[in-house]
Amino acid sequence: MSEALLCIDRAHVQFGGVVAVADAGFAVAPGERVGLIGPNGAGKTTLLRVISGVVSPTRGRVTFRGEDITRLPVHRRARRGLGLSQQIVRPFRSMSVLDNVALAAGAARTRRPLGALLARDRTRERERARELLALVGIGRHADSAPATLPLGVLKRLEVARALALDPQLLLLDEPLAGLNHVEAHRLADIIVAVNEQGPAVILIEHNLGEVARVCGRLLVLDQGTLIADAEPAVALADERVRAAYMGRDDAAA
Amino acid sequence: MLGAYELSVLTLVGINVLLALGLNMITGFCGQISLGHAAFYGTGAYAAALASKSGAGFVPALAAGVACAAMLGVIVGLASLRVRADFLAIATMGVNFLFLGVVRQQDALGGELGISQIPGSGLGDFGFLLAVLGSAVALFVFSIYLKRSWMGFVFDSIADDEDTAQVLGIDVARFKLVAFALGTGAAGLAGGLYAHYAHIIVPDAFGFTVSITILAMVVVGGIGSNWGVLAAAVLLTLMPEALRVISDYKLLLYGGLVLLVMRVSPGGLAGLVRLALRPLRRAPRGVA
Amino acid sequence: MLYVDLTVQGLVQGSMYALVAVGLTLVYGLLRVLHVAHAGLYTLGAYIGVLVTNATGSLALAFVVAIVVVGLAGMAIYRLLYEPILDQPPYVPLIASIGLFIALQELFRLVFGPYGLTFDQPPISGSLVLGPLRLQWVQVATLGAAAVCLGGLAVLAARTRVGVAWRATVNDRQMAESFGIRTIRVRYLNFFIGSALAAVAGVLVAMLNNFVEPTMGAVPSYKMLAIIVLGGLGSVPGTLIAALALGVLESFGTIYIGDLLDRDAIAFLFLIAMLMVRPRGLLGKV
Repeated sequence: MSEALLCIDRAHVQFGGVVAVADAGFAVAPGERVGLIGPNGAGKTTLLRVISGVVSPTRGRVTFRGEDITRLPVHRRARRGLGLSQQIVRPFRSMSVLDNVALAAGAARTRRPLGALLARDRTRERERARELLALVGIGRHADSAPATLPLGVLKRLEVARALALDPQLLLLDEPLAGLNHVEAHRLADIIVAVNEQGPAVILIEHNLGEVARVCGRLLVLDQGTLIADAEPAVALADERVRAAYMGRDDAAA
Repeated sequence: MLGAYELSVLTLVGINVLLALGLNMITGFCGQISLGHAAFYGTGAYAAALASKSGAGFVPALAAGVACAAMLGVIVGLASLRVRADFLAIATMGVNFLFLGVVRQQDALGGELGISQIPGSGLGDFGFLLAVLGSAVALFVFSIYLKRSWMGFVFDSIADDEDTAQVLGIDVARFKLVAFALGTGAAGLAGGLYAHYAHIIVPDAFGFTVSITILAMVVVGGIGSNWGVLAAAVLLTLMPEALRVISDYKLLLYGGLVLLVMRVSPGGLAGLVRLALRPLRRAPRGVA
Repeated sequence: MLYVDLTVQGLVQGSMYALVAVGLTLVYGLLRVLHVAHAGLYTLGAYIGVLVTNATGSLALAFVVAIVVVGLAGMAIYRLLYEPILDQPPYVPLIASIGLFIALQELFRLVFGPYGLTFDQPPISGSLVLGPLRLQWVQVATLGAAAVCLGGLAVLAARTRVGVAWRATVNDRQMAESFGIRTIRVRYLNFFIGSALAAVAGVLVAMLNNFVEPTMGAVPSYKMLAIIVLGGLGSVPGTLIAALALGVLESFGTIYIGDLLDRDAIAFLFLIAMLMVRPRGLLGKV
């Protein structure tokens, strides 16, 4: 547990009378690739938000790189090495795709207002942004406005932006949703390539085929409870996992 | 040379430019709706007036005005951290009214009659005008620089989507407070200058109508655009003066203009200019 | 008996606030727009009340004309101003509304003069004496009118098809449309009713003060906003409670903290406090 990158200890999230996440606990090692799956409404996004800091758990602890970050605000977690790409894409519509990523790449410049005021040059950050956009395969859209671009491109922009923070843990919330078969396969491969260069990845996905293919480990959530934590083959064969998915409408790829 | 009337009008132009550019920083650059800007203008005026009357020099009095206005600005900024958009608009309106409500009742601040016999700047009329215009120009240059700096980059993201900005490691709260401090500090400076120009200040000079007038300048110019806001501030101050005939219709003009701009071209003058320039920019690329 | 007197005065004031504020909350609930210009319609109603009564001697006719004209004006404002800019960021309709309000105020000043108008003959005079209480008949009329109008609105919303359609549209526009509800009509109705209520309030105030002047809508324009936030944006019952409560609070407040704070600023003190503690307001859902 001491070398774990991320440690979730009995995280419990309750909104009024509704329990979104029930005493979840698991650890993620540096460089791991973990899939987080489960039927709709299982609490996957809520759990991811507990890690990224958007949601505060009712009780429980989140430890990252040995530090208790449970009460740490979102922007500080981003600076400690947590990158998040959101389920519903939210690019900054008032700036180009390139600048979206450059802003993230300029995290050092945006740390303090005074420092930000005294800095003008964006060249280095824009170069880095181009590299990242090329990495995820949308380099040619660098100078376009996000409003004109299709979902597949915007999803990859989210990933590039999260990467620009140089994270040690990348949280991806349904990056493949809305993509066709070919696009999804391609993005999944890119995620593997990114992971192999360093950051651990936690991936929420409904696309079971892809997630089982690229992840070495699956966490399965059902109605807020973690019901399985194993290799894909084992997890998907688990009785309870099958029961959770069958009798529900969607899911199997 | 410039007569007393021209001096007076130009001084007002300078003061209005300070007010409008300051509001533009808060509302335009950083996306925080602020409908009570006159409260900071008034705070600066009262603070500077009191300081000057108790013997502080011109510059220290101005500094007091800036400091007090900025402090109130940071407090209001803290409020902006808890509420968004519509609520913030109403809250800032509320600040304007609370300011008036409190000032009107305090004898120490002169109550309804305000503060009179505020000393002059000691610079003479022309020197004072230079001080005002100099401040306005300095703020304009600063605004342009600010927009191009990384702080401007951060402000853009906050105005666009502050939750996502957080995820990118930006301390949104701190930057918002800075925007408020800068914008309200500018208003405080304008207030201090106004106090030394008019020698008398009354609560009514800082009412909601004044806030709307300043807002009109920002809106008509184009929220967020430095050049647009500068142009609008100058035009809207000069117009009622230059066309004496319409001076009685000044408020009707402001209201109507704001209405028209929002209805037809929410990007203001700057938006119109951008639209007009677009075909010109395309041409070079078409040339093989 | 001072307390009872203060309370009753406060309720009279509060019921007027309610008549105006409800229109504002109706618009917000439906369109998420802060319809500041609503106060201009209130002023218009007041002017029509005085002008028609003076011209024809009939108060009843004045009410009818005010309701119809102001109701139609409200609908026109929706169609010409708000509808085309609903897709813009929220500050656009807000600022447009403020601009319209200022313009309206100025128009009243330029057309009817800055000094205001009065009734040639106050249409209702005299007082009602109930034990230790002395109420002007006009004040009684105000309480009565507010009760009737707001009660009628409640019945309309709960019992009629139109009311159900309106509530459905406020709740979920797309769902309502898929049920065949014509949401455009609901919007027009919404504006008509809200504006009509403001007109009624305007005529009542004209009678209470026997005076209308161009800037009479200024304080209400901002105060109504404070009220609807206090009550919870979009909640009609919340607005009603907040309006009555504020009327009473102002009544008492002027006596007890009048040294510190202007009467009209009391609303904003509570507003700021509420926003800090419970931004949703009393009964708000947002």
